[in-house]
Amino acid sequence: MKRRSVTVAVTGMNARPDNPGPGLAVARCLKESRHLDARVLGLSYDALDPGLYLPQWSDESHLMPYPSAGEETYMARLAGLHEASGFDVLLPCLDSELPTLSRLVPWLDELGVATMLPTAEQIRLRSKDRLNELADEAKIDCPETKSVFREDFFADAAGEGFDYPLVVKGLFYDAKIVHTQDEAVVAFRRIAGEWGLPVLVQKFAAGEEINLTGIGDGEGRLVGAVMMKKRALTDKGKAWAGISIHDEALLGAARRLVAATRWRGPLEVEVMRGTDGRFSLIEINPRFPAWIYLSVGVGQNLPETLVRLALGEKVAEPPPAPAGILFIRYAQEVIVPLSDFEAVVTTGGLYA
Amino acid sequence: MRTGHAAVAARGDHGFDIGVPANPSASKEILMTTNESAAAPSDTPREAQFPSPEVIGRLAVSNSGFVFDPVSGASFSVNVSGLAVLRAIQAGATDMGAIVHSLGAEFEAAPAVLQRDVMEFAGRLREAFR
Repeated sequence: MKRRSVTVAVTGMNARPDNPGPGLAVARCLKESRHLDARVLGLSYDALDPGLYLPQWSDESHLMPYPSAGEETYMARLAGLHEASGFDVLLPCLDSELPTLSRLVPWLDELGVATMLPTAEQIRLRSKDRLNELADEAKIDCPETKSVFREDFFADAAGEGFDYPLVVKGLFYDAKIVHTQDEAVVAFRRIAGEWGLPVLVQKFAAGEEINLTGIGDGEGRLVGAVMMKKRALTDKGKAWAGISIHDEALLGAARRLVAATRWRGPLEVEVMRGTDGRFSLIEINPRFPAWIYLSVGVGQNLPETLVRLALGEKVAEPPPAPAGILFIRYAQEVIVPLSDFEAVVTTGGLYA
Repeated sequence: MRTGHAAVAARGDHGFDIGVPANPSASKEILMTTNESAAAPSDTPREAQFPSPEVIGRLAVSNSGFVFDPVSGASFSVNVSGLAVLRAIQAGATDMGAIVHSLGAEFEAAPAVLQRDVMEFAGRLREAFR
């Protein structure tokens, strides 16, 4: 089969063992594509991100300014990289990038860069403080969530109907289960310090967490679906090992969510399955998860599918992913010559 | 005809324990004392409450006794007698009499002993799929 040549810029190339970004896994999927001959530009925010120094998955690596540096700065960097390296598709992998990049889609179109991103409205709909509305629309249970701006909320949380245990969450990342007011205040301060206000407080949903990742085609259809149960966790609750599963009810819920939002782009649906078999929607992430390489393991290379959709190709529904395929992470060191580190720090890039 | 292993056991593989003592020798001891402590035979077998037929039916059961639930992602292993029980109920045996009859063809143990072990196994399975 002749593979289509394409250059894809992928963000989130950090790979901290306790909380890895998805970029490296996405790049690995693209490099193993059967349909695409992918050249990958790995984009990162920290000179110590290992993905910058792994040429087998990142043909060129570049540092980016944080989106918080301002849209103009961000656009200038993207435009400069596009001029120098010519990428066809931009595949962002971090939640915090999405609001900015979804606004920039028309500009990226003009630049000649294809994307497959949720709209600003879709991102707002899945935001953690509005998840209840979306869950109602898709007819899925969702634990009540409240935006909290002051830590004294926790002094009388029960009075507002929020009995402990509770889940304290950041707007973009991080979640901590707390059992007392003291624990809640500590979590509130830490998360507010890292991710800003409001901090979200969610009623605790008992059960086991299961996750699904797939792609919304923008017209209400879910393309591909890989479901996973975590089997080992990092200290931050991220999957260190997991196994593919097949749950028709979860698949149905994800299809309803995609149909209700006409979601465009990748997503990860996180639910808790209670002992009665009912689902509680915990979170929708507007990107691929860090465990996306499992999609290759089960025969559905979802990043490949996303890039093909972004390029306007018609993509057939992939065959159902088999249950019982495990992934197990491991950590290893990348040896980096000082000259490579110097190049990243001083020029912001590393060319293979 | 297998002998001496009438008791039915199941053990989880990754923090998923269905109730067998962690110490293998303790497990063996329970198996060996089974015959001594057997309940008096009853003419009317009690019915075992297994997880729903839907749950049992979806389990992938290998010849090694490794069991995988494709919906929950849980896995565990069962011994030869547990495997025989699972095979029997997956094949459609629904009442205790049929299950014990099926086990009796394979294991040399009194029906009352088999019945008690099946009851215990069913309890462990229910616990696993709670």
